[in-house]
Amino acid sequence: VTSEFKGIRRRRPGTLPKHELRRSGQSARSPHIPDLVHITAVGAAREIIEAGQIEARRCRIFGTDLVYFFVARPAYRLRDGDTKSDQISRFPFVFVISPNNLDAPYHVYPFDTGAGVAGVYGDRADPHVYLEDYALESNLAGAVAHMAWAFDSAEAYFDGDLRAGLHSTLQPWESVSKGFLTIAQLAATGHNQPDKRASAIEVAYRTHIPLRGNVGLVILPKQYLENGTATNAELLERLRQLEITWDTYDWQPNESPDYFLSEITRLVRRYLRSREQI
Amino acid sequence: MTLRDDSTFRFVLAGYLKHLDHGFAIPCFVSGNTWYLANCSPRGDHGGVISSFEPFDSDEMIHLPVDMCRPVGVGDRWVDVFLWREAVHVGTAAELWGKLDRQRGAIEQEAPLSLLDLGTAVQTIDCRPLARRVFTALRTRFGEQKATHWRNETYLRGRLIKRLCGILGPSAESNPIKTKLQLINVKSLLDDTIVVEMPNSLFADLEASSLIVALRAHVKQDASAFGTRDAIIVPGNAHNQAEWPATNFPRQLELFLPHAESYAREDFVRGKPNAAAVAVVERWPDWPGHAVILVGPEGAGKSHLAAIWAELSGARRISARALGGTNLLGTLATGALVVEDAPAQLDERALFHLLNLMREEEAFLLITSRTEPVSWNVALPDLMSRLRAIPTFALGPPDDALLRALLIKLFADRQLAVDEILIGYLATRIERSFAAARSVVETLDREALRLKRPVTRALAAQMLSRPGRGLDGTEQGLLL
Repeated sequence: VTSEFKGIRRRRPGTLPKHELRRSGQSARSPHIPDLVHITAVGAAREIIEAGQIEARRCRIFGTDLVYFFVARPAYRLRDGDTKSDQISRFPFVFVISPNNLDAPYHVYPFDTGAGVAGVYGDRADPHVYLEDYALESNLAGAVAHMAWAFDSAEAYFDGDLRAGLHSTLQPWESVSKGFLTIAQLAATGHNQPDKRASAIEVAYRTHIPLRGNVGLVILPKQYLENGTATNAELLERLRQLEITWDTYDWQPNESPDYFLSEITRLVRRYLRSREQI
Repeated sequence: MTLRDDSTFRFVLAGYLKHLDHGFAIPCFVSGNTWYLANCSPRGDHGGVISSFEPFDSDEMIHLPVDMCRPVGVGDRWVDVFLWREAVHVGTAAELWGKLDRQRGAIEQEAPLSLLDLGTAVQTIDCRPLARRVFTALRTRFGEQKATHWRNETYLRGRLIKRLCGILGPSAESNPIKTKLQLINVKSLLDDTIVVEMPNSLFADLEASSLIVALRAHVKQDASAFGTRDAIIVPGNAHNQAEWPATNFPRQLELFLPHAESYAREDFVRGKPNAAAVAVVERWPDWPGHAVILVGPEGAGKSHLAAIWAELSGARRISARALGGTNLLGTLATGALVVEDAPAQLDERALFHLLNLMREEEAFLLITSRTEPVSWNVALPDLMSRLRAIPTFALGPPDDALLRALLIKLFADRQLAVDEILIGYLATRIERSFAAARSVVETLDREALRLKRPVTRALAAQMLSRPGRGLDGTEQGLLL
């Protein structure tokens, strides 16, 4: 362990991951998985809607083209330590996607890997546990099993509230599971500044994701309902053509990023509840 | 990250970030070589103040022309950037409302939501007609369901949340409270009653603090823009009307008699926000145009000032809605007339005729209104031009001094002598508005009567906070 350690480290090539969480997940199965959530800035969302697909982009961590989602939970970067405020936190645009018609994911992790590698979880991440050790089974069943093991219910997962007493069920040598629980506590409701990425199940795909037939809902700033310019009308018309329903949040230039995230969480919760997914 | 909250540290509003090509953009500030975004207090309130700055960077930032840049600092009034048809406008909400005078008609047609956001931040404007037009526009374009969804979930809920945040103060930023606020739902019943569902614990805390009645009144007032039948606030576990608590309604056993509000000249509460309006009344009969219009929100003192002027001038007083069926020449018999509450159910021809008669008779006229004449939607072009020519004087929202004086006056109206400690306690805890001052005085008076206790700081503290436990379960208590 060095004092320079910040983020979760990658395994050296040729060494085998522990995959302990996959074992943990095998003890509990649930047949349903909630929809996936992808959040981007409004400007990028326009391009996505125009293209009709969410495109896989080069991921510097895994060295391949990937498109990222979180299971059910709207979570995005608010502020990481000394970083500057960014576009997504000021103009969020949300896609809620059904995973049922998608191919198998490239990987499934129990938290936002980008944040983990960047050191957002700070010294809470066990330095003896490597990123690959946390990987769940690379399929949706792996995500569902992990949700059932760690959270009891989909709603508890949505809120980030871990199953009570879970830590005491672990053996002393289950370092990956313990490491996960330590990180995941950062997302719990009772935490002082919960970072919902810390236990949001990350699902990555290597292919572009077509909007039609997969996206059930988009959430956009209310100002898109105004005629204003033709581009707004075009965007809503495009959504109609793609058979995507939309909801809006109250965008104001002087609202806090925290507020937007809270509003979007509320709208996604309502949508998932209406579909009896949480 | 460093938040610059040193009030001596200056920034310049020098750029903006847009996500649409109309309406509000995000103002960007520069200091040295670093760009910042500002945070607002209260959050999302265009009439609020800048509370802090945080570093920001974006390739999409657009620089303002030098002559539009503004130096600002922590504590200054929030400044917006508003885009309309290739033009950039910079200013406070009230400044922007004035600058966009000629464009407002077009904005209302094409971007009514943006105009409503701007209008709600201008204290002197009654935005209910505009809210109604937004609803109609959304219904026409997207159907009844989407329009109702906006009305309930965005507009009414948003205003309620803002009020609650104002009541709760800093504790509203705590995670437990934020979670509770997230769970508030606004829906409408088939009979067009608006129902606000709150988490049980939040409802119980607000009920214990006697705040439910006041909140319900606010929701009802906001909802009246849409012609709704009623509004009620219920805990989330009340699934049918039989379970709705009686707290929403005045207590049956309480003998709460209406009080007489003093309109005596010496009882008018003066301050900077109403100085111009007071001056013009006292300057009478030195009124070059023989007419003035007083504009201000409910409770700002328009009627009181009109009563003082009526006393001075011998004016008769008439409601704007009664103009149509009145002998207009008779109303000018004393040479002076007060027309109150324009433009409610205004008979435009009658007002136009009255203005002509006033000129012929060389009589004086004082009109009171919650909104400026430009927003009255006057159809008669000649009447509009006449109204534009009449000087308008605004009674603005109370500053700290005026709020304290107003509280004393409102207590005195109820024959309650209160001490400075109570006034200071309330002035730092209630929303700075005439409505909030009236509401808190009325509630305290009612509770004192009910509990048979004097109105003291202790009673106020008991009413406004639950000893030992706040809404968030901490030791901080509930703040009004």
